[in-house]
Amino acid sequence: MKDLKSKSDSQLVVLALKNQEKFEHLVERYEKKLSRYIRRITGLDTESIEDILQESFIKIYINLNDYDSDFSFSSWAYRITHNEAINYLRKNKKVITVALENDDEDTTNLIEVLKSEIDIEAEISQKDLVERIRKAISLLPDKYREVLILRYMEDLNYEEISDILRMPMGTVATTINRAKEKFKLIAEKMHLNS
Amino acid sequence: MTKLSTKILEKIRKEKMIPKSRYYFILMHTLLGTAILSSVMIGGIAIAIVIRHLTLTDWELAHQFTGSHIRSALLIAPYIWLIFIGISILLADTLYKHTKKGYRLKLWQLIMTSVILSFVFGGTFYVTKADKPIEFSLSKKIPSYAEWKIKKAQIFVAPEKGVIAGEIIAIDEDEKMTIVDFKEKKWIIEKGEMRSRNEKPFEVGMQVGIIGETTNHEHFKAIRIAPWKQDFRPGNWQQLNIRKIPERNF
Repeated sequence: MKDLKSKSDSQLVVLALKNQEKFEHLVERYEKKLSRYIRRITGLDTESIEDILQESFIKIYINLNDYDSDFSFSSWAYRITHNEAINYLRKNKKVITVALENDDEDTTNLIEVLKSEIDIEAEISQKDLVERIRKAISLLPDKYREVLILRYMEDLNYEEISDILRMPMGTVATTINRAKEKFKLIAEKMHLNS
Repeated sequence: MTKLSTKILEKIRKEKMIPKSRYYFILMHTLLGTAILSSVMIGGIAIAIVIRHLTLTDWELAHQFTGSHIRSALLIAPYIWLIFIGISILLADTLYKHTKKGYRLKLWQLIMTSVILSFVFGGTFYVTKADKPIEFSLSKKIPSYAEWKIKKAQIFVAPEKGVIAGEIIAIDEDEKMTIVDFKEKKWIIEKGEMRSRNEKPFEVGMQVGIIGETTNHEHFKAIRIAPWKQDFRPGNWQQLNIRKIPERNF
């Protein structure tokens, strides 16, 4: 078990293909990360998140032979999960809400990035600020919200985002900049600016 | 083992799920690759056919007919094949986007790559004349395609604009020719002050494009006679089984 923890994702994929019991190590390695990601992009309840996660892992298992070690397993798993989450929302006609916790380190990271884009009213409380930023983010078009979450909350690099969203790296950079601009416009409309 | 991993493994066991075979994915990727390559090659054939149409065009005759090079190009352009090139490039791009790394190229890079590849294939097909049997076969199997080619040739039967094209049916001792144009009208061709000399001697059965002017309803005074280079030959009509040239009783 200890030995398996030191194995790379690609090695675990090979092992899981030989013995399905070994797949549990991949699930354990990515369960929390992917669960948090689903919550961030969908804002769904725990039960729905678990459904999506389960379907995502089963899809990952079924398609293990299609995993290409030229890509990181993480990006591949994120992509499958991303598609499952989007399909779930479409199928169940759910509206996206944004889950941002006040004390979450990744949320603070995104808020700091977005705060630097605008001049915040001096008298606004931190709690109120997070709430308003959360609302502003939820008003962003899906593609902008997703790219901001992947970059500043999941802390992924351009290449990883490019592999997950299937867009050229240059487009990732452009989309991030446009997302910030769009956020700025929404923030102005919401009188977040001083 | 966490609760979720237990649940997932239970489901996998219960439903007897197994990963799809490696060969399934190899087959899928090969099919996709073949579809992309076929699409680019079909585009290449279309390009070869366009190049052939353009190089075999009697541009001097077309200029006489339209009065300008741009109008000539617009008249001559084989639009069917140009549309076909566009579709094949678009199809190749769409298919390529579905490959594993297809999204890494920007749209313009993708289009440029398939255009360049199509032209490389097109040039190769043109040089090796691989397009010829394909176009001939199309003319044979698709009557409307053959009709389209006939109609394109018939454009150049416009004596009022100083051009006619047709087949030589007789040459007398004074080198006076009789031709049947592509609309099946007989003309006596008299040579006026000729602009250029034909390298090959004219003979019966040869097809020619003539610039000049009508002197009466069945006489045409030529100032230039050149061989008709297009693949289309009324002689092919019988071969193509589209329409037969009526018996000529002159």
